[in-house]
Amino acid sequence: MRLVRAILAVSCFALFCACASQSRGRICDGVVLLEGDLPLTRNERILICGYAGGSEGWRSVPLSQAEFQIRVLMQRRGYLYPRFERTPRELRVWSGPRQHIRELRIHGDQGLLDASKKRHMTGHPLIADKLDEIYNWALLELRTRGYPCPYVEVKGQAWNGVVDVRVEPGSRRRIGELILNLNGLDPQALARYQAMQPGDWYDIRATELTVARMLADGLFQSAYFTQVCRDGKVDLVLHSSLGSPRLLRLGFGASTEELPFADLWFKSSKLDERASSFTAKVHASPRIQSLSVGSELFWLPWSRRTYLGPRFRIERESEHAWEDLSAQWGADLGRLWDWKSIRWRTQGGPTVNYVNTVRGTGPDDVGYLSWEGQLYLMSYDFELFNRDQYEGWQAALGYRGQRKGVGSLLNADRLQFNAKYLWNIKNLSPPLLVLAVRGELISVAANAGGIGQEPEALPREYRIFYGGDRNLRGWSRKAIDNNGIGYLTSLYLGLELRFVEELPRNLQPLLLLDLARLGRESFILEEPVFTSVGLGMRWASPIGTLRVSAARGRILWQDYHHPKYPEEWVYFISFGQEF
Amino acid sequence: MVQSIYKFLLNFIKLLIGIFLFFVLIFVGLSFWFAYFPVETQELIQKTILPSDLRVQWSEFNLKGRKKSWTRWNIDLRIKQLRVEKTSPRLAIPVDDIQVVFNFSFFDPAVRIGFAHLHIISKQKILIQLDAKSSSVGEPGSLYQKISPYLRYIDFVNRFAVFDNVEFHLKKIVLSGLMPEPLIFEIGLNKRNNFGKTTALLANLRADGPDLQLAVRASLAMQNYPGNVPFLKVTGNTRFGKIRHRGTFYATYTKTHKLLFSYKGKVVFVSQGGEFVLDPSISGELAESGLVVTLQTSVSGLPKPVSEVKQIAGKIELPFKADQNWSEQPGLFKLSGRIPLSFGDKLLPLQFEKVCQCRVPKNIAVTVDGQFWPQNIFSKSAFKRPLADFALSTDPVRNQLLILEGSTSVKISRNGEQFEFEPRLNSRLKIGDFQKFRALLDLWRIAIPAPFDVLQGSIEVIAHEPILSTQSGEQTEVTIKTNLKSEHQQVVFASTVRFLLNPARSVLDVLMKVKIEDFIIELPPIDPMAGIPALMPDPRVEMQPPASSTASEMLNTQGFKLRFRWAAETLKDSSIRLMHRYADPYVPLSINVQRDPDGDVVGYAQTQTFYLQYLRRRILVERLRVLIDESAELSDFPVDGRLRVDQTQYAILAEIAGTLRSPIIKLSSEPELSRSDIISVLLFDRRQDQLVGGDAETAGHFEAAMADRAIGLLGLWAFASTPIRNFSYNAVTKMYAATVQISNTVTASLGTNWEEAAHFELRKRISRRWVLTASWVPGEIDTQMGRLVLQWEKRF
Repeated sequence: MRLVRAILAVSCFALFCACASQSRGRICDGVVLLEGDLPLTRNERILICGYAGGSEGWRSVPLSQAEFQIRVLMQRRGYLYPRFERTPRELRVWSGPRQHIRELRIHGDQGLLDASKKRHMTGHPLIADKLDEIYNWALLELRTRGYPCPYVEVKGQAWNGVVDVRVEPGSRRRIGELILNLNGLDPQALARYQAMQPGDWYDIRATELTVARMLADGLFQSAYFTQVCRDGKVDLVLHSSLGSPRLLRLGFGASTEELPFADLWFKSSKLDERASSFTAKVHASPRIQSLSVGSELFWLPWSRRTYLGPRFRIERESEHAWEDLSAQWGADLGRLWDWKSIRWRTQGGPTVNYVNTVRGTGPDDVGYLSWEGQLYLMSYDFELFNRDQYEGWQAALGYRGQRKGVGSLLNADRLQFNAKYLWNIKNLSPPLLVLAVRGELISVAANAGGIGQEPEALPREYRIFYGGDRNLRGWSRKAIDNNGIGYLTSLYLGLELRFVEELPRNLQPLLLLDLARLGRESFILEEPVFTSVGLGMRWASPIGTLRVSAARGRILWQDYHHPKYPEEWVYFISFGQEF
Repeated sequence: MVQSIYKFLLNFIKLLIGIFLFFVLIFVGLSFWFAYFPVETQELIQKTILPSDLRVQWSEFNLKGRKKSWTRWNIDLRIKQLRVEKTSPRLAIPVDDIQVVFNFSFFDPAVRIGFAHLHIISKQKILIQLDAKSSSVGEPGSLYQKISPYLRYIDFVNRFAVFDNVEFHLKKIVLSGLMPEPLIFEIGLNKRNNFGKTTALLANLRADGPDLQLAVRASLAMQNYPGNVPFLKVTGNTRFGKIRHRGTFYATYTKTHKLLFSYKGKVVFVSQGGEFVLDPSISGELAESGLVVTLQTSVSGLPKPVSEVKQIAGKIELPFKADQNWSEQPGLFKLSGRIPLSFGDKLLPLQFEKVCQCRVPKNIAVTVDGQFWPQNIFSKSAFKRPLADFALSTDPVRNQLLILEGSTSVKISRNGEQFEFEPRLNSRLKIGDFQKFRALLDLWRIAIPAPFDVLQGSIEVIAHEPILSTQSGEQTEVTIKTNLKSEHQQVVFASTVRFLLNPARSVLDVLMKVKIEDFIIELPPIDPMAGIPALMPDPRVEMQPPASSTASEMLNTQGFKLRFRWAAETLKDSSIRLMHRYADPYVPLSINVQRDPDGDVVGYAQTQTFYLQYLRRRILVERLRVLIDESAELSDFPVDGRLRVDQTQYAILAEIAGTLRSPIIKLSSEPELSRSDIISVLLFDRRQDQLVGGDAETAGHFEAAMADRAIGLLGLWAFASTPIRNFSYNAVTKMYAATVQISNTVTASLGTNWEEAAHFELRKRISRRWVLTASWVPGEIDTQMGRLVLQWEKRF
């Protein structure tokens, strides 16, 4: 840890020196910076040096005014006591030492704010941006704890580096009225998006989640809440506007698994007053060609959150180990709801499948009936800040199965559980270390007993392939494939320790460790332990998260009856994907 | 005939001799009678001649005459235990011994009366109590008339009276009624003889009471000076310090009946404040026509900044009128001196000389010139009458930088018991070259900021108003005229500055009223899209610990207070024109603001119609009015206005209310659109149903930010005048981030939350319909996939 911190510190110092060297020296004619750095924007330079291309009023700036303006800008950069020396023709500037924040003191917060949890304060320059950051932090902390109308004042003391935060939280309030403006849409349609109910303690995260869900669904073009504090409660007013119900999209792109692809996507998001929807999508790439249509029909009269989901999909998929044609037609019963600050989603139903394996191991020209269902849980923190990946958790439990004689030639059951937990160590703001843990347990039970006995009978969706940046990052994508047949049981544990906000530009270095055991029979894990150890970097770029990792795969307790896999360094560059 | 004339003359001479002898006999008889019957004589005089309340008593009276010749007699008068008493004014003068010896000659005018010896000794307390009635004057007459008998005596003394031997000693004289405390003094005069020149007068004067503490010792000596010029030396202690005086004086009465007098001396007063020194030289002439006094002196030890005044010269002329105490004609006086110019910094005069290309004098001449009416000063009247009228003036200063003409006049009059002062300022300061003045201020570290620093012209300060005394204090007014210009700028305004000093002289209120005629100024050529730089220090960063309450209270309660207030108004619409390349033709502004006595600024500023043109957008600002009321509990500049944006098919009208920082914006359109469509048209020139997904979300975020009042007026203008690429609003932190298109290839980011902008940029619009989007759906089983898609979208 110390070594890493030292490296980070040296990197920052080098960057700082590089920046400073560009802004030290002659700022303009008559103004010389002899100590410190003062990078200037174009507008700031005009106020100090004037603008030669302008008219007479601003062609030049008096040195005394330049001194004042530099004093202001220095203050904004933390140099609170700059020194000046003026001759008739020249202004010399010494920035003096930079004042740093020595202590963060909070008054009147009634124990709601914990200054020790606010990071990047002590030792950082006392500048306006820091005061803004503290203000926003205090405001957010109070608004997530039921105080919708707080008063926060932040003052920095130049002489001792103390930042004083004076807080008047007001009274803690429950949500009073929920006033909806849905432009003619049935208010019941909002229930499936709602993360809060009248009577709940106010939490701004809940209102933002509601808005985010509404916008993500495509029905609404804009939505936002305003709040009115009155009589010990807070009323929430939803302002929204509906878009035209039909949306057609044509896209060309690339993903972590396909390059290139083309999509034609159509959605009608307002089939009725309760905003039932219909979606159709055509997808084409060298690996997959598919057509899928589906609906979410909120037709059940007794429930606002439960829907019927008929669906149909036809697909051709080609991998290096197989190629198949498939078609699925099914109908789900699904439900969306919130409970205990957790987003719950479940759906399940029968599916009629058709599979024709053109190449590789798998059933050939087979139709069967399967049952599929899943339960998905996600904490509010994970849902709201999923772009940051700082805290929260999610878990999913899935089932897929078929029964011999019920439209199928064999019995097969696939149970899958996976979960992810993001731990902001010490609950700092912003985090320093985020420990991410994910695990997965899959087991497939087939009447054949072992996958080696009738591998071609089991559809590919049941079989398990490992390797790649979604599980074992020290191995190539789906490289652990049991000679193309796949596995029937797996247990996976992945860890990632990420350093947050220690490098500029939100670069986040990380250490990774993956462990997995697999089995070729149902509910039996075999001896070798597949591991990946490595490091990487995450960057939240303006167009999505870019992750780079280098990991070496190792096999522990090698079983000589097991297929051989090469142990080597594997490098991944992924875009848009998270841990 | 001749005989008859001779006979007549002879008889006449006989008659004269008879009359003479008769009077001689009467005189001699009376003298002998007085000498041998002094008590009876005293009683006779007491009854017939002296005032009734005056009693003169003695225990022994001796008058002896000794003949030296028939025409010369030696008279020796001696009185012991003389006591003179009078009730009004109250006098009680006990004298132990009086002896006067003089020679009398009938024919020798040079020594007709020659005092040989004067001896007055009193060791008892002499009480003199003055009261108001005692000061009443007797018959009217001019000062000359009242003094002239004594002047004649001086002449007489000069010619005849020479005491050979004088001893005069009054041990204790108590004088009360003149000052708060009785003055006790001792007077002694000792003259040995004419030839030894040992004449000396000694006076001890002291007063010791709660209100007056005084101890003065004065001696008048002639032995050290030739002639009869007396030398007066006074030393003493007062409650406030020590006083020392040395001086000579001379007086002579001329044959033309004029008194010529002169005095030259030095007075030193030493107190805790320092040493005050005065060296007056006074000469004068007292004649029947009037009194003329000339004075020359210098003064040092004055309080700073004027520590000394040199070459003070003055003249006083007081006319007399016979048989009247004072003439109706006013007296004249003139006093002039040179006051040294004092500068706190020695460099300042050098800097001033460099700028004005002139010499700064080391001192400046000050003249007080006027007239006074002693008749009105010493008598009361029911009507208003002038007492004095004088002017204080300095030499004018003229150089390339400025013209300074300073004068103040004061009229003092009495209206019954009340004295009225009518001072009037009559001064003018004209700074003829603003650039030189700016250079001077720059040397003094006082900045004239851009764009004002390039202005040329003049500033004139005129004080031609009386200083009026009212119930609320004394007040006067000064006018400031400013006429400054440059190539594209103009600053013309007139200001009046009213000074009001409260009756207790503890608070000076300064009220400045500015009437703006033309104020054409260039705004800095900054680009709002490049970020508005900080112009003032962040008020949240406190540079010094707050002063303790007791210290601040002391500051507030003690000492002299200066309270500054101001008011400014434009004389016409568009008096203020702010020039900027984005304002077409300029920002016309009118204001009416003032700073009230509590220090709060109240008033308004409003614009008239103008266009804002930036990139490809043109906004008509129909009106915009900002109310300023710092006295309100929550002063956040209420705003009221209307903007109009003409898009391709629609005109968007934005009615602005709320506050400057958090305006409430009501949008309407022609033809009518919904609010969402208005924002879409405002930002993208298309209705919402014509937007692609990313643009729709941008419009939604923008609408949310407006509803949350997170976008200020500047933001509204910036976004309304700029093609927006995207806009993201985080209601949790109430911060927004936006990317605007400056040109076809250049974009700029607004807002501060870069992370939020980064998230939003997950959708990046390539063209009107094509969007580059990145997506990641977290978590659900087997659906994790990062995707980057170039996407075309249509909503219908």
